[in-house]
Amino acid sequence: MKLINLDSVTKEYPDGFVALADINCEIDQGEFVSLVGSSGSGKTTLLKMIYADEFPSDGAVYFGGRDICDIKRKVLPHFRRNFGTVFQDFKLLPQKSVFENIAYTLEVHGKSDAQIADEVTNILNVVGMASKADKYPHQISGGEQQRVSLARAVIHRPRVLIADEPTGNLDPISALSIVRLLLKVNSFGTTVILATHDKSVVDKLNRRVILMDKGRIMRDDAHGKYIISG
Amino acid sequence: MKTIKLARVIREGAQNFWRDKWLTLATVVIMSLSLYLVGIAIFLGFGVLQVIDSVENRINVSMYFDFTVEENKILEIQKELEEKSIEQIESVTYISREQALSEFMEREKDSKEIQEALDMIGENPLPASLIIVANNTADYDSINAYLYQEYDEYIMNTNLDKNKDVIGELQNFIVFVRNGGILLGVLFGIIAVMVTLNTIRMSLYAHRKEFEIMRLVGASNLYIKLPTLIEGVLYGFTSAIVTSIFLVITVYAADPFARNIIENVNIAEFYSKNMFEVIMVIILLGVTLGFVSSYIAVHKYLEK
Repeated sequence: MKLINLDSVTKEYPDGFVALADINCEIDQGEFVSLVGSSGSGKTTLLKMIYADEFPSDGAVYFGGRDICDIKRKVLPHFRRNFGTVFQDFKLLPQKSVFENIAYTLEVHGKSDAQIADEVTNILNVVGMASKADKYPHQISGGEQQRVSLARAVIHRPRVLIADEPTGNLDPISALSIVRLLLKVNSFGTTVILATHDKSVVDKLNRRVILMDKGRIMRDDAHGKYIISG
Repeated sequence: MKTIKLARVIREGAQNFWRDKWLTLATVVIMSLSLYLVGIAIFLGFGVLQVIDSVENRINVSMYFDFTVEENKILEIQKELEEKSIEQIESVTYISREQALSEFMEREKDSKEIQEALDMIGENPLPASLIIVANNTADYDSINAYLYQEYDEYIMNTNLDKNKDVIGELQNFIVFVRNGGILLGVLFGIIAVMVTLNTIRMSLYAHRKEFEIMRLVGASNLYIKLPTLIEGVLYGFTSAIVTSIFLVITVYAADPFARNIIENVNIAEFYSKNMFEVIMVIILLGVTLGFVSSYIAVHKYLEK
């Protein structure tokens, strides 16, 4: 059984807009999948389906064999602890410092203060944000917020890392370091799903690539390149 | 594990309260204003009740005795009225003829005509009397009837017939003020509750996106709710303290004016006796309102 299974998933909004149309796709534990396509092709909606922030209007999404529509709203936060998510708009908590934003994830997991201090300091060093640990989100740049968002997504060693445009605001060198980090996380067995525009990143990875257009899957290659046409 | 979480929840709540200083300031100012309204309503209510009390105490019925009635008999009647007769009577005071005269002369000492007239009469023209104060203004009619029924043979007259209309009017006025006061108090209370509820709801509205982020990174509803409730309680408590300070200042500032309006009523002294209770009520109200409002607000945003 695959870890994630999208079975004929369609997402149609009340205004008639179809974000996803009849998506069939399976992702295995430990895979590294790049989701590519132009803006509005449905990448973000598909990711949201996986961590149960959106629900299909038709078809079903299974995680570990379980239909996500069956998860009660009350236990959704617990379900989401399986995931680490780098959001396109970062979604950092504005009233918390860089350190506290990352620590929050471990706090909700009930880790001790000493453990939290240790692990957060560690990850801050890895993403190169140790010197800005006490800054607030509005005091750092977009690229830095992205790195904090990534640190928060991986700190609790999730089963699946979902990254929505994690290199979008970064210079090529920083982007490369992020990709290396994603690969490292993946090498520990975490499934990584990466949505991106960045051709150079995808081409370098030489991993599975799913190409989306207008809410449909156009290609699904085991060792793909970023090919827009076709 | 549980204690770790509780400590964190409290820290979270305090941080929310402390970090967004402008939001906190705005919330506390508006909440304090509405609590102040409630505090003033309570104090005004107290004041009005006290004035009503003192006015009621000044109402009485005087029972004048025929000159032929012996002092002993009057004292006997006084005793009867005090001890067994009717429960509506609060107090009975005896004024002898001599006392009545000396009080009258004292009161009219500047009027030459009256002094001369008294000299011409040559004897004390004033009757002895019993001054009867009722527990309730409404009871004077029945007390008067009772006096005539029991002691008609001794009574020259009572002054109730003369005062009847005034007492009736006063009584209507007291009922009006009392009911009006209660209505106004309830109205103020409702306004305060509505204002506080909406203020806290708006403050938390600013946080609603954070609630969603917290859910996305795996925080349970309870873990989001508890700090918010603590934040609400802190808003309420702080506002109550601010309100109390301003209430104390108001009462002492208003005291000289109040004394000009109502004789023999020392507002500051009266309020300082009740200040502690009023402040306790304000704090309790503030904390409860803060808690309930934030509960309603966060519940709504989390269920959405």
